[in-house]
Amino acid sequence: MPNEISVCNLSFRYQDSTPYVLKDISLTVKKGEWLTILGPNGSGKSTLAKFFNALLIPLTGEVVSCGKNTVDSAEWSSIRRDVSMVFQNPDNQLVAPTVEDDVAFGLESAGIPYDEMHQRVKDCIQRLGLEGFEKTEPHNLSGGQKQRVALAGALALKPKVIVLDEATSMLDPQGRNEVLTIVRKLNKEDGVTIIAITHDVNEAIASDRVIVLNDGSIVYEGIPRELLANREILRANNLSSPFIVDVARELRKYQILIDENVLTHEELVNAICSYKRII
Amino acid sequence: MQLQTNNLSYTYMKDTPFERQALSGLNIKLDSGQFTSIIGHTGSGKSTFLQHINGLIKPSKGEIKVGDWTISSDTKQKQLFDLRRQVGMVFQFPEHQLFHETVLQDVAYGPINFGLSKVEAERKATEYLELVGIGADLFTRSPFELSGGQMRRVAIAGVLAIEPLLLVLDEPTVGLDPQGQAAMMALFSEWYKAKEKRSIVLVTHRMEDAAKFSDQVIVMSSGKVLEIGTPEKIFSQVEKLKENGLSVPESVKLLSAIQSKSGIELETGKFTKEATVESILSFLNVKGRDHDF
Repeated sequence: MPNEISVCNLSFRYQDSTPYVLKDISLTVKKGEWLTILGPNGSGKSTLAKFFNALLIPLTGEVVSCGKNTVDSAEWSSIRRDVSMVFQNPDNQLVAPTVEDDVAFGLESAGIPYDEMHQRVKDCIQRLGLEGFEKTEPHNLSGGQKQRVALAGALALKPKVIVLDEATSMLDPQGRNEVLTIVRKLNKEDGVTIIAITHDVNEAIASDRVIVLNDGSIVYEGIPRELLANREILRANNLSSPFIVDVARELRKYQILIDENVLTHEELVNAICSYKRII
Repeated sequence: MQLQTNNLSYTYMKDTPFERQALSGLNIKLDSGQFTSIIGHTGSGKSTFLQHINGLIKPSKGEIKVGDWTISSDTKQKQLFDLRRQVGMVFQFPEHQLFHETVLQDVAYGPINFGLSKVEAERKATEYLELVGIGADLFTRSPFELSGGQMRRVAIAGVLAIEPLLLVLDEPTVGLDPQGQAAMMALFSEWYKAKEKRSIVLVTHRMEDAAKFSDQVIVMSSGKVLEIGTPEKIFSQVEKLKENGLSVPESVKLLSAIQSKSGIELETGKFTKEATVESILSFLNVKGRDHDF
């Protein structure tokens, strides 16, 4: 698989007098991959994300997004069309008076012809399950619906990569599930590369790969299952170990045989119930 | 502080095409000294209700009683000045409300506004900055030079420094990492327990926090109270909560799933890891603590 994004020896600080926020980061994201970036507050996650679509430009090191070097200002608008971002607060990213106008907003700015724009808006609204809300004012939507409108707007530009910067952290449990279900669909069915920044280790379970940032450096890289079972790494990076993993660990102390791989509710329920049948 | 609503209703943009009823006939009673959590999906009216507690918005119909104050549609703003010293409001992202040149000045602003001398106000500010874990080395810094977590602590110290009796918290831990969230909730819990008369009303999407800290939980839906009761009672209704776009704490989710898969009843109203493990051990007929020898 070719690389969709490659970051090479990137270091960054906001001012000459302040400490480095990113320290010699090298990272590649493959086409079609779903990468989770975890890390405590202030670790540099959101700063790093802004380099993916040329909202920040490297002074030290290099970032190549979808084959284009972000240092080249002539490529910025094309990079930003290829790499879409959805931010944390749903109220800060919807601009138009109705849902369909909002989805069309980016297309209009990108100069997409009217007929095609119409079709794309319709497709994206349908894809994200927002039919019936076309004429609704965004502020009358729930948080999960608002984030889906933001995703529809991003998707309408046919991006290769979608970056989610804590896009579910302000949502209620149902809104969170709505958004995660859609993200999974876009990744698996449409082949969109996903980069998801989060504090919630449970959100990492479904992704292909996870990196942990701390104090501007990548301190861990691996598959989610291994990270989630690694209590030391989690604790050292202000991440909480999943409840299910903790309960399974406790139960093993009582000689109850539960596979080390158990991570989800369903897996633990099955393990406990089959143990019950044996004894 | 006691809090009671009588048929409280609120309509946004009344008599316009955008009219929307956010609260309809709300009847809630909270005793003094209680920790109450309010859960409900987006748009259920939680934040609208919170804004009534110190009169930021006034009822369209009905009334709300907070301590010695009664607020109805014709209550005048100036009657509420003293109420606002007793009700501290922490909104989402309270750090957005920081404005002063230094951390100490920002926290002292509230107490000065309520009539304390500069010296007294700064003494209060120092006390509460220490409580939230902001060291004296940061007092003279601009609040905008701090990290997000520190900024939020400063903003909260500013609310605590007016020494309210009732603290109203609207999703106070959004955006913090898990350890930051736990530390922030521990801080509120500590503040609450330090004096008997203190009360908290917390709006949260985090069912774990609602279960762990509350004396009672209110479930809101479409501007009404759907359910009110102890965490044990509320979180035993897995299906009902799910229908309303809410979830239960992970412990309850796990224990309920074991119950429905095995068909054997077990205690599901457990909110800590230890209690959950105990419940599973007794389900498996494995003895708890003394198994360790």
